[in-house]
Amino acid sequence: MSQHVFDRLLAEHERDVLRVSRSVTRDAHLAADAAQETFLRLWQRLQSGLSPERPGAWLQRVAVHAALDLRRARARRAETLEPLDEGAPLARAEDAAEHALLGRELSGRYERALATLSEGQRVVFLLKHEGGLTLAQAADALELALPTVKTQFARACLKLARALSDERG
Amino acid sequence: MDHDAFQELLCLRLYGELDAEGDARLDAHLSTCAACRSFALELEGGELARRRPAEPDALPAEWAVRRRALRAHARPPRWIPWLTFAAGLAAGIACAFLLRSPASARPGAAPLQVAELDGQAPFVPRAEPPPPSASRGPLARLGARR
Repeated sequence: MSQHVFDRLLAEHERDVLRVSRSVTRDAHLAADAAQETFLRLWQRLQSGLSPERPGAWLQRVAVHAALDLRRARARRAETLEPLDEGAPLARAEDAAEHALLGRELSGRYERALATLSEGQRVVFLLKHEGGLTLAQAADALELALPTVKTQFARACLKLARALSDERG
Repeated sequence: MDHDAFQELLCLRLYGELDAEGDARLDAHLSTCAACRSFALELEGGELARRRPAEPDALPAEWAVRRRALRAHARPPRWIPWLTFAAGLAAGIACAFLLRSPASARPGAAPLQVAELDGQAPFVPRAEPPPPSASRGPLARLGARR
């Protein structure tokens, strides 16, 4: 029985769980790790006879926490390794398209602006902006009060808008 | 409220998260503040508004492998149905054997009544040793023909 429930929930929510995980980890491989961890926990819960009342919200919450754990673990590992040389030439063909260069430049600006945010602001902003959650869903997933999340999001958004505008100007 | 607070409200409006009360306050402020109107235009045409990610149309290829692994994990091993069937069959055979066995073999059954014949000793079958198997076997039959 739980196997059918698991298959159904996996099919219904895998896209959302992956998207939320991706928005927090900002890495496809880590996002898949977080999503896999999330669904394994769902299976364990179903095996013990407990079915989440609101599976979508439950999965989002578990996915966000799994993604945050993986992201923090990666950051800790990165601290112990040599930093990458950002000035090193990228392995690319000489005739790389202008479009790719422009896209990379925009992405670089965006990433630099994101790096100016606090951890809490960044997570809330990414869950909304890239994860597609409403702020109420983000508050639920992070187990925070909605006004707190709204404030963090609005501050993050304003900081980013100004940082992007300054870099352009 | 200062300009920063109203510009934060503009951010919430951009993402559809501003409630009706905040909406009204913001509109009232914008009608009198050129700086915030200018910021609103910049925000709407800016990079954040353009970067709103579209709904992804396909799951990453890596996920297909992981989904298969998850489904396999959630499926009971294939030998379990066979084991259940074999255990049921064994139980059925055991039941049939017990039901068909003589009453004497069953514990608690009534003792076997020996024939009660007046003045006659009860019949006791005489146990005779079986003939040597070799005399009835194929070798013996071959020997008899010779």
